[in-house]
Amino acid sequence: MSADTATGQGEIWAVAGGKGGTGKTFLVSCIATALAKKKNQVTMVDLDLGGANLHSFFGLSGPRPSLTTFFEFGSRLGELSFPTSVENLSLISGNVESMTSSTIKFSQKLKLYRQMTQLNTQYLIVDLGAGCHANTLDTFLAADRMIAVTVPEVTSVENMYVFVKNALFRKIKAALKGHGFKNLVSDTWKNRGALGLNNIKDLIDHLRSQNPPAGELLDEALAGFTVHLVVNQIRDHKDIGLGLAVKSILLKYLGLETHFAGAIEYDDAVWQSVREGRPFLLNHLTSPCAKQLEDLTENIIHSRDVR
Amino acid sequence: MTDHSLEKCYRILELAPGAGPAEVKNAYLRLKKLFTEESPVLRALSAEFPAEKRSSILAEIEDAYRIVMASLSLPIERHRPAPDTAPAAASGGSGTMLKLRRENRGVSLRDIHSVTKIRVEILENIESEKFEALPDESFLRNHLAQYARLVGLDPKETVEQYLDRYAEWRRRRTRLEELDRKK
Repeated sequence: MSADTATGQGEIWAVAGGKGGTGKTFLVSCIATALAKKKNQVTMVDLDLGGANLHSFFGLSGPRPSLTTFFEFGSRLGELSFPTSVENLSLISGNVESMTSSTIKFSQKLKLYRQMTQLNTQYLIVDLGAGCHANTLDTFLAADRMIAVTVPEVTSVENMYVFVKNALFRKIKAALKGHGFKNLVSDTWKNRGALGLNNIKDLIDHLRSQNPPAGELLDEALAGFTVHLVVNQIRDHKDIGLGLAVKSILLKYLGLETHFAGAIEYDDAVWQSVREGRPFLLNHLTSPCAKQLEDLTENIIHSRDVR
Repeated sequence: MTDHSLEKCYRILELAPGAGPAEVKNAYLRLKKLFTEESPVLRALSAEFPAEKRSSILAEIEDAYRIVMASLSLPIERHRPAPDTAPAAASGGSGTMLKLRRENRGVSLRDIHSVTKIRVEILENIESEKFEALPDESFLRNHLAQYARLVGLDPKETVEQYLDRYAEWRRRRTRLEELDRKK
């Protein structure tokens, strides 16, 4: 049954973070399951092209429709959605053998976004995979909920910060480009040495002071830029502080408001459930992660911080 | 720091405006610690942000805390009974003055230690002007500046005044040693 109509109003949640191995795919599978458990129609989209794993979390293997046919043969997105063993939950798989994120043309990207918003589903949970490529950033920026994941390690936090910064940079460039300020951001940034600008916050403040109309556009762009932070695989109670620390630093250094949406414990049961091919959230209800994941989902729904 | 609205101060402390004194103090200590210590998270960003930025953030947090606590008319501004040491002895920049100031603010040596990691013994020596036991001037400057910030004093002035007293003590001791040698 096709999940394709012209009137879909689904909310798009995009999960990214810059570094591989932080558990984005696991989180996508659980958040989607949590939403489906609440009787919502949910579709997962695996945009981790070239590294698609979402199907494994539901025990799905073997040939199945995937985004390959979308990009290579122009199939409609809705036709590629197939049900999982979880009620109300479908998957559009990303097993794109020959193409990677960087080889997708701009026009194909636009087509993908358009069809994503037209899908007949209430929630669209997108696994963006690792990396900071332009397509990844654009998909992240197009979402209704932008979710960034890290684990409590320096390199992961560093990558998540770089990811958020790049997404912000891309957003402000796009915001100004559309109004006749096409190269203002790039040119100013190139000149940062001479202008004494160390970072994005300095850049934004400078643009705002030099060019008030640009400043208004910038403020509008910033106001709509809310990232939901998730710290995954915590092993120690004090790792929770890491989420608060990242939130504080993004606020103080970049002037960015974010939500610390939740911290999820490390649990061996996770890889066990993948090995068994059974959805974690339905089969490990006694794991502390299960409650944490459901709370996380609620926090993202309500755009609020962990309590 | 220029005029800050109370609302902005709560935002700097990342609190909702209704937050009570315990929450305010906890938020302050957490943020102070985060931006004072070398946390892995900060290390990840240190390439992008110069040291002055961190100092100005710390100053902002410090000011916001004082303003919020003042508005709640609570511990940090409430007078505790001062020790019997005569206030007259508390001249500018002296250890006694620092201690009085700290106690008036309801800040314990433990509090200062938990934020700055300076040993309590050293803080006690600073307050009692046990100059012979104090660390090198370069460390001392840093300790004094951090102490000053935490009790709402101007760091530069405090350091200068305290070090003047330290220098005076050293001069007196040198003269005494010379006199001893001549005997």
